[in-house]
Amino acid sequence: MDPERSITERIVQPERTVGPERTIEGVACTFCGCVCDDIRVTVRQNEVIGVERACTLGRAYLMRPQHGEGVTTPRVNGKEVSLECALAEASSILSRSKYPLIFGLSNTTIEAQKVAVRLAELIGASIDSTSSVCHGPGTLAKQYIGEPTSSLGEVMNRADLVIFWGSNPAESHPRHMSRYSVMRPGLYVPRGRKDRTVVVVDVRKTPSARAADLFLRIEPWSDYRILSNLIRLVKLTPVHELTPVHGSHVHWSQIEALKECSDESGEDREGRLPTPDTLQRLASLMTSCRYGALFYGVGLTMSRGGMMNVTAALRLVRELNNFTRFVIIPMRGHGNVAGIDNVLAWRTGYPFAVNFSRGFPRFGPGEFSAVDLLCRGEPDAVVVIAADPVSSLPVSAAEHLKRVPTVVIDPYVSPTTEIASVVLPCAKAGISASGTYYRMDNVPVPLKRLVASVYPSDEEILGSIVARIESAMTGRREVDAR
Amino acid sequence: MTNWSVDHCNEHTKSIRIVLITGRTIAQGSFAGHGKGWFDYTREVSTIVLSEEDMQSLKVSPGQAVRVKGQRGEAICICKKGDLPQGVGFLPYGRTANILAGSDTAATGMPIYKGLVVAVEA
Repeated sequence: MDPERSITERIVQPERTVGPERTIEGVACTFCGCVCDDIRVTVRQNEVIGVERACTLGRAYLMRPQHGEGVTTPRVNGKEVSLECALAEASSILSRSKYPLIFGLSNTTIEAQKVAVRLAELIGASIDSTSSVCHGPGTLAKQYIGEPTSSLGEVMNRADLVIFWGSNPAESHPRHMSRYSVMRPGLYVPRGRKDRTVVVVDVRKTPSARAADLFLRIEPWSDYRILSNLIRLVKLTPVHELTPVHGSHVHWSQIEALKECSDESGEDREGRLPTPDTLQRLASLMTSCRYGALFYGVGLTMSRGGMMNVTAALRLVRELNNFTRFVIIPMRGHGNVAGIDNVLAWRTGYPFAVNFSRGFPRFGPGEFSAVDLLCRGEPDAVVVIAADPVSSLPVSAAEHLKRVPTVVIDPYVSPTTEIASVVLPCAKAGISASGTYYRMDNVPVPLKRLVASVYPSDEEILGSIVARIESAMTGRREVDAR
Repeated sequence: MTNWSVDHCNEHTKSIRIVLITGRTIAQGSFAGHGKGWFDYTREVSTIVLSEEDMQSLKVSPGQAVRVKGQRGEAICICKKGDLPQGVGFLPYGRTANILAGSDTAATGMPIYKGLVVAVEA
């Protein structure tokens, strides 16, 4: 079958299987970076009607009807057109463009991401993901320091000290604590929560802080200072004194001592947060645990000096490995944001903000990153894949999207599809399209196709655009040769 | 804890300066999953959480509207009382936060979304 015809015909020949309810086990939720793959989904008449074991966010995401209030037909300049026509218009826009931008890619499969990188290379585009507006500074820090890391399974089985720094998993990754890091019993922490010590460091007392053994409230913009102080305290610690006895866990006396030097809110009497004594004891806690895990959130990367904050956290964990095993894992937000970092890195050598305008990949955060490019008004065409930059980028960046031709590939209506020149509805990854997502610890998780869709997947749409542009370029070359 | 707001409190206009943290909430994430066109989503991303002391300084009560002014723009928010230190506010990610965030990324690609200095007027 002609693949080109198959994707354009599918939209007029919808596949709707009518049959009894069926329950599918081991479904992966694609909402956040946890990519929990133990979800049970009930499907009837090609629609998801029940979701079990998922968190509030995952349930809302998986239950969202795709075709009810989603993008129902392809559109060009607001007018409903055939998929064929929309693909032709998208290819035409990108062929004419001199300095395009491809953005998004964090909520689509790595198979689609690979094709997007091919498209960027073909049209000489800048390609950037939402990684640059969440953990991008942390990725830069990793390039300088390295990342002592592990899988979430290792943390689940081994960690007796878990620290969340600038992260609120109770609201951003609701199943992280119960499934991976805190509650679940592991091989070397058989009593689960009782065998672990949980510390939350944050500016505000979040729901996660309420679930922790110790909450340290810090001032805004003080992360780098506090992390640097901890590095110094750890470096000054004589190794022989604090090397843990084999099999020992963090002692409750250490936690109690920490609590004594601060009141309930984490403040001391002098108004300095946290006190030097508190930091000293926290450093002791870190050096004497058997296996520590530091999860950092966008509290470190989205504040001033984000890259330096993460640099300090990575250095701290590196120092801690002189005493014990300690790992650091970023709390990645979007489902496959770790995937696009990996795909871009293995295809171009760089994790985000890559530019192909000279025919080879160049890395330039601040120069080729989406927010900077859009705020400077440089791209003359934009492709948005599985993202909503009008809702998620600063207004000055989103404004430029309204001024240039924008091609949006998305299963849903969003403020970005409202302003798009070309809207290409697609199947939803993990529901009506299969593929692979990377969890926040870079473990690949296969996605099942639960229901049939009338729409092609992101990968198919991008592949079709690439094929059209390649064909047009070949035709031009042949004409030139004659 | 440094009191960020008291030094900048303007008695005449009932205006204070605070450090604004933006972030995810369960409601914002759930509504984003359902669809961003819903009124509940718009209300959630336009609700600023302030400390009790700051609300007293502004003489506003929960549910009242306040004007939040950032470097790049300003927005009207509904205020809500929360467990925050004086001089620190919290706003869920969304359109309102995007209006207040600047575009400078300090060559990292990441604009500042946490630790924004904004003025809040009653």
